[in-house]
Amino acid sequence: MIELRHVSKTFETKKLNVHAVKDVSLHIASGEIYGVIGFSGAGKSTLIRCINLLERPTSGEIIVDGSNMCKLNDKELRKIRKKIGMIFQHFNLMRSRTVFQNVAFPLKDSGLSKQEIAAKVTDLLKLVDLVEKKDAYPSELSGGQKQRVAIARALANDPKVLLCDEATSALDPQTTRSILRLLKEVNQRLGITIVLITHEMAVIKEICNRVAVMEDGEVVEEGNIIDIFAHPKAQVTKNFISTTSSLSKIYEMVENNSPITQISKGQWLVHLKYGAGNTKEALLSHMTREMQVDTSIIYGNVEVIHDTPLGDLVVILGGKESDIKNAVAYAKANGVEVEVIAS
Amino acid sequence: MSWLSEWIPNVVELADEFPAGIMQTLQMLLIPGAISFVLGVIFGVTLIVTRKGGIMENRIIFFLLDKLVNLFRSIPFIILMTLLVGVTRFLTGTSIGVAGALPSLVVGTTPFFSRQIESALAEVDQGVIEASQAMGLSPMQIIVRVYLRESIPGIARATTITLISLVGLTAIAGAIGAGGLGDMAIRYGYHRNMYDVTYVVVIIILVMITLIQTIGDVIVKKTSH
Repeated sequence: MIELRHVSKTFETKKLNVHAVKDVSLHIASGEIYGVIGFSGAGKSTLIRCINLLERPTSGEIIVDGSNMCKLNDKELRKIRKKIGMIFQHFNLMRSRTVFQNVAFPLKDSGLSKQEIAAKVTDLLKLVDLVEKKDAYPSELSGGQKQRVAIARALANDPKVLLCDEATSALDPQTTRSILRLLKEVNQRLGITIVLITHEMAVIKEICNRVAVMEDGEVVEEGNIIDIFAHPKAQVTKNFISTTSSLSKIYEMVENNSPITQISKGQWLVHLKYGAGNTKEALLSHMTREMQVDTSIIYGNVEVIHDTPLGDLVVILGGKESDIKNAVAYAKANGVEVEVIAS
Repeated sequence: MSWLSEWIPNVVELADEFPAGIMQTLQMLLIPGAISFVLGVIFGVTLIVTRKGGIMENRIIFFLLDKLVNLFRSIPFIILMTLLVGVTRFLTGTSIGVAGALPSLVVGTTPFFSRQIESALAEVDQGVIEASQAMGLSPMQIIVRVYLRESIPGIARATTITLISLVGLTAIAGAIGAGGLGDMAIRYGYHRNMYDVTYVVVIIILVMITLIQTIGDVIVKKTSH
C-alpha cells in the first residue's frame, strides 16, 4: 500500500543542513498497522509527513496505492490526499465549527447531497461514539473526544490509509488506550492501513503489527513486532523495550550491587527469555525437581503482544555447578534464551 | 427650550448644520471603511499566504507588499492628504469636501487595516492549515474556508479598531476642508471660541464610537467558540 524508496529529507538553514530523514526504505502492506518509533528529533514526524507530501522529500520515491506521489501535479496530489486521512498530536480541529461541521468539512466538494452528508457524518460519529456531542464546539470537548472527532473527520472521505502523527502523545494513558482501541477497530472494520508514529513503546505494543525504529534520521531496525520485542538488536530498540518493563531496573541493581541481586558463591544470576510457545512449560519446577537446582525468582514479567506471550524471568540458580550447567542447557534446549548476568 | 439656549447657545443657533455634519462624517466613515475593509482583507490574506512558510509562499510579493504597507503607515495622515492632492483631483475631480477626502482616507486606513487582518489571520493555528492541506484543499479553499472563516472574531475585532481610528482621521480630514463633525468643531468651536459646539461634537462622536464598539463586541462574542 505504501512504499518508501530511499527517502531523504534535508532542511537547509543558513548555518547548516539538517538531515532529518536519511535514506529510508520501507514497505507497508495493505491492512497493516505500522508503527514508527523514535525519540524526539529522530525524524519520524518528518517521515510520516513525507507520505502525504506535507513535506516534500529531498530525494527518493514515495508510492501510495500505486501513485508515485512526487510526480503528481497539485491537482492530482490533492485528489490522492483525500484518500489519505491524517490525525495529529494537537487534533487540529476548527474552533469555529461544531463537531458535526468539522466532520462534514472534508465532504464539501464530494458531490454528496446535504442528506447524504448528514447520514455519513452521523455514521462516523456513531463509530467514534460521539453522536450526542454533534452540536458541541471543540472547546467544549476533552482531549480524547477531540481526537475522536479528528478520527471521524479523517475517515470522512473513505481513505485507504490513515496517518497518525503522535496522535496519542497529548493524551493521558487511559484515553490513549481508548483511542488505540478505536484505531484498531477502524483498522479491522474498515480495512484501513494505519501508519502511526510515537515515542511510546506501549503504543506500539498495543496495536502495531510491524514497527520501524528510527534514530538520527535512519531506520535502525524494522520488522514484525513480536520478533522485535523478543530479539531487539539495536541499542535504541532495547532502550525503548525496557521502558515498558522494569527489567532495566534489575540490570541497574546488579551494577549497583544491590542486596536483592547479590549472589553467593556457586550461585548464578540468569535472565531467561521465553518466546511464543514456551511460556507454559513448567521449566523452573523441572529444574528444581529433576535437576536439583534451587531457583529463586527475583523478577518476572510477561508481555502479551497480539495474543503472543513474551516472558522475562530473572532467577538465581543455586546448586552444583554441573547441575546448573545442565539446567541452563535444558532451558536452551526448550527454546528459552538464557543470559547469564553473573556467576 | 430656553434652558438649551442658555447652556449651548451656539449649538442651538447652528442646529441646522449638525445633521449635515453628521451625514458627512458617516459618509467619510462608511465609504472608506468599506473600501478599506475589502482591500485590507485582500492585502492581509496576501501577506499571510505569501510569507515564509505560508501556503503560497512568494518572497517577492511578500517583500513588496510588506514594505508598501510600512511606507504608507509611516506617513502622518495630514501629510498624506497633501501628498495625495493630485491623485484625489484625478480620481474625484475635487480636493475638498467629502469626495476630496475619500482617497486619502482609504490610503490612510488600508495599511493599518491590512496589518490588523494579517495579525487576526496569524492567530489561526498552523496545525489547522496543515490538516486542511492534508485533506486535499486547494490554497483558495483554505483561504476562504479556513483562514477567513476561522478568524471571523479576529476580523470583527480588527474592523472595530480600524473604524474607530478612522473616526479620528475623518476629524483631521475635516480640519483641512472635508466637512463633517471635525470641521464644525474646528471652525466654530476652535476658531470662534464656540466651545459648546466642540462639546456637542465630542458627545456625538462618543456615541458613534460606543455604537461601533458595542456592535463589534456583540459580533466577536457571537462568533467566538
